Amino acid sequence: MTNPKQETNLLPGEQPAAGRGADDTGVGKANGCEPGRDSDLDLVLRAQAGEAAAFGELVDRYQKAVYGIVSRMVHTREDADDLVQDVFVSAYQAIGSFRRDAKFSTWLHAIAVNTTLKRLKKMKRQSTVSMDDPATGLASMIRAENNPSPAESLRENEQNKAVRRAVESLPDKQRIVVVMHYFEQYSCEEIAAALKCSVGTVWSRLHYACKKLHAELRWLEQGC
Amino acid sequence: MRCAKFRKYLIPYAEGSLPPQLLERVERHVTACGSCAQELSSLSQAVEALRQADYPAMEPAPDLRSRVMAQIARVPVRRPWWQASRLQTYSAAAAGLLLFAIVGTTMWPLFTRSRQAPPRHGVEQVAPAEGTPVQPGLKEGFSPDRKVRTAPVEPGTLSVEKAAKAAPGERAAGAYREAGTAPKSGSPETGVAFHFEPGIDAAKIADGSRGEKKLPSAPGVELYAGGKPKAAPAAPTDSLDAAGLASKTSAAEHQRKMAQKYDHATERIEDSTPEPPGPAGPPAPRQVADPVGGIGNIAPVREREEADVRFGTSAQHDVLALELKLKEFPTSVTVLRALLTKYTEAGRSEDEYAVVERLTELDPENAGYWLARAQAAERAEMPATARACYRRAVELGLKDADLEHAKARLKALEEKPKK
Repeated sequence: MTNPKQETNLLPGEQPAAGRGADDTGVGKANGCEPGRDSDLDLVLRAQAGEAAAFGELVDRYQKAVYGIVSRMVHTREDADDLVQDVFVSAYQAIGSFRRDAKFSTWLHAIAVNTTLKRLKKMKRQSTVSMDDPATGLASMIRAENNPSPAESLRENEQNKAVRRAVESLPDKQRIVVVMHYFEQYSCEEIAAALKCSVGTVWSRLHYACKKLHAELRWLEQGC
Repeated sequence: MRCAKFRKYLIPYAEGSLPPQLLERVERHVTACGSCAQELSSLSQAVEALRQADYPAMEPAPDLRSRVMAQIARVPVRRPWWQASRLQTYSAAAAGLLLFAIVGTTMWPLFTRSRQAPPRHGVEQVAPAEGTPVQPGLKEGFSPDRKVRTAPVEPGTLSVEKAAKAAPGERAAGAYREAGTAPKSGSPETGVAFHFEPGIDAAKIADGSRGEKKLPSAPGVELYAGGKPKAAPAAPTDSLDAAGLASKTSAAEHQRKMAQKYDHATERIEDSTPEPPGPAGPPAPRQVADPVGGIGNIAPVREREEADVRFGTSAQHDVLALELKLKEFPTSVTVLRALLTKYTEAGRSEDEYAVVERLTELDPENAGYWLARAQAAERAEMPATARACYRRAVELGLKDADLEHAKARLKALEEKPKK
């Protein structure tokens, strides 16, 4: 099985932790940036000076990486588009506060993670209200549609879908760590930097997520 | 290593990303611990399933960039303060200065007021004669209205100046400033503070009303008046005042003691104080602020008043400092107790009594204060008060040696009148 994340945005000299943007070093050609291409830092400086086109270039470079995280955290394309747009607009508004003590990618991913978690929280609040409305019967309808029984999942013989559902059932904070680590190939240190927490916290979230996933997958196998 | 501590390393161990320094220890534990080995197996399966899963991300919309660019064209960039434009920086600085000025002008009067001693009755101001010799080393100067004589005060000292220098042989007034304090507002010269001790009200001393009791509490000075007190004391206005004491004791007894004191004082001033050099002719009239009308209401004072101010010792300075503190914190038990100790050491029994009386007012259920009050009353030769205070102390539950002492003194005092 080919993992699509491994095919994306690999730069010369960059290790397979790709798929998340261009020049992670932020210091340009000297650190492996393609010849003739502006480094992230150059673009950031130009964007800070008010050059919107430079920021547009950064959007081009990082939209796939941001989309990779965001789209796995929401269910619909519209939500993903809105969220990614919000992430870049927030980044543009705060571009003046970006300093060179971190990579631009780390800084941008921190914005992406925070924006996503906030949006999910808000969506969950709103959906709780509507789903609890007994008049509409929306809750049971959504449950029936989105949560097929384990036996059905395996009958479809789609292990991937089962994993996906298991991942979607995780709490948001564990899910985003799983998505970034196993599907976007971020290291635990990078995730810790983006989430502004310790590496131990990332390990701990992965541990609990994997335990739940294992229980879920075993239950699926037994239900088959 | 306990399982709970170890298990957080299972994920990096399963992924093969554990730091080498931990790898060996974790491996040893997994080999020895069955439950951890089982958990590691479960986690490894989950990790493998995740790694093998095809969970593709959605593709970004082709117009994402144009949508982002359209939106950012409508929103302003939030610039941090260090990147703000020069105009913004200057505006912020100007706003800060304006705020500082407003707050400063609003708060400064409150600040200066808090540094000043509260106004008291009998504030005395001297209008010296022209050409009056000044004490060597002192800078001559008068306030613009010529009501206050000024002299430099050494920073960090508690000084008492002899205002009588302005009109030698006529009268005296104390002047002081608390150590390290700024000159009070209205001081005519920078660095100069010359404030006359309110307690030294020669007019009241002269007519014997009640100013006499203030003499011992005049900070750091002792004042001797030439005239004998007369008539009965007036009603008390200050709880540390003798009149307050007199209201609790016999007025006649108190009057007698005060008369003796000022007789003695007059003798001392006549016998030992040399006539200070000064201009010939009648002394310049002194004016005293009306206690009711305040500083601005100046009234003449009788010429027969005599006073002298002696510079205090360090102990007196301590007393002065405590008395100033008491003005600021009139209900402070700490200050009162410290002052009580100082008065006791100085043998100022009446002041001692006044202070301990205040303490019993503040804490009327404290048997120790009542015992101290009884002892002070005895020292101040107020046997009736002492008896009453000893009784009260015993009622409130004195213990051990204090109780024995109180009973013994009570018995002795009750036997005295019979003898």
